[in-house]
Amino acid sequence: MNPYLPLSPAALHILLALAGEDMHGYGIMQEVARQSEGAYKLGPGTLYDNLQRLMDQGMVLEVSSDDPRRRIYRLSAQGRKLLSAEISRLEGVVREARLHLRRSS
Amino acid sequence: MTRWCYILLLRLHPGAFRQRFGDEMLAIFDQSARKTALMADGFVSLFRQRALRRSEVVFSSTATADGVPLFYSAAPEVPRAGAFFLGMLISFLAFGLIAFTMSHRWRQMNLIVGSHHPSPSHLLGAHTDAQPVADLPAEVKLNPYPFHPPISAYFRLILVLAALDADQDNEISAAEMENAPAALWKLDKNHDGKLTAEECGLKPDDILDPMMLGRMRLAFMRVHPVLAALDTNGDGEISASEIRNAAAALRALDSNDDGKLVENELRPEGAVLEASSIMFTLDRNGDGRISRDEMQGAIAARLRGLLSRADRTSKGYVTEGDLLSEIRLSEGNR
Repeated sequence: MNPYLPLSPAALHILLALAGEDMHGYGIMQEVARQSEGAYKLGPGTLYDNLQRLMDQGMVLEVSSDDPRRRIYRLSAQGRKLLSAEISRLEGVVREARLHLRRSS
Repeated sequence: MTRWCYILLLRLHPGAFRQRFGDEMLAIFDQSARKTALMADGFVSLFRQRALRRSEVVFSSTATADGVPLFYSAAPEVPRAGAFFLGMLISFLAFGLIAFTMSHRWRQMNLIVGSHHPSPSHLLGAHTDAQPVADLPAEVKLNPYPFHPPISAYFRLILVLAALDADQDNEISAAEMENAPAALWKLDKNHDGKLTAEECGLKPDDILDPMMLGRMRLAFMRVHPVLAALDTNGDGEISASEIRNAAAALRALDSNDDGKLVENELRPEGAVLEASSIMFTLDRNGDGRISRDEMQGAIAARLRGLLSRADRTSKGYVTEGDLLSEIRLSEGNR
């Protein structure tokens, strides 16, 4: 059993945002808002609190940038694996949910 | 100001986190238009950093061996002992400090801290079927609460005065006298078109028998100058016609003709209170006289000297007027 699962909503959205390309913090916030169609908005406190944890776990890496106030973050291979595991888990949840809903209807 | 508060909030985060992400968080804060939401978000991250992230991360088992979930939250870490308390304490202290600072330097924050201004609206009944009356014109005070003078105890006791003194400056101005009918109608709680002694401020004991209660009502209405002036026929109630003529009755109390009534012109004279009190106690049959029979008993014995001096013409009884003259005379001799 993966000790990091299930992911919190914030961690899941951050990893999803970084799955496409490397991004700085503000970019991650905008991408999360775009992916959730504005339903989920991350504040900088929540973002960096989760980023710190994900970096400590080795799921996200910091890459060099010209602007010290705009650090770039990248999804690590381990992070990508974790995201895949979480997506598989969620697919199982969705499958179960559909099955139960079909039975009850 | 909000930027300064956000910087203060960032400073309360653990040093390692602040050094690593503080600049980026501030840059995002500067770019964002949702400053209030980001402040709230900052408090959440402060709590999480202090409660969950300070020590080495400990992972909990989220399910038992048979797959039954044990615990799930937004984050899987278990806080170390005491960390919740520490995090909450720091967050509350920070919030209190920022709210206090903003309330003293930024007026809009009064919405959070709250403010109170005294209002005469408490004199209005919660439910009323009375005809709507023209309210007093608003008067803006230059020095609002807490610089407002405290309401006089006498004005609080006599509800008529509290109703008349709309701006709560312990004076009845010419405008307030003019608006007296409208103010007095608000005291008519049972909407019977007149004001009883209780509606004017009398709070009688429940143990009084009906006759004593009636005498107490009459004495209350007679002894207080403002009530005596309004109750022109002296029947112990302020009728509808007396309410309509209230402005003229109040102007008659203005002994120094300065256009307003101050507490000195409204308070009853000490001698009047004393004479009324003695009459109420000794005149048991309520005929307005203290007879020889009523001069018996322990209380009358203590007042024997006063009563005998008051009965100057040896007519065998003492009236309230006799008592008042004697009390004033003895006060003058002191």
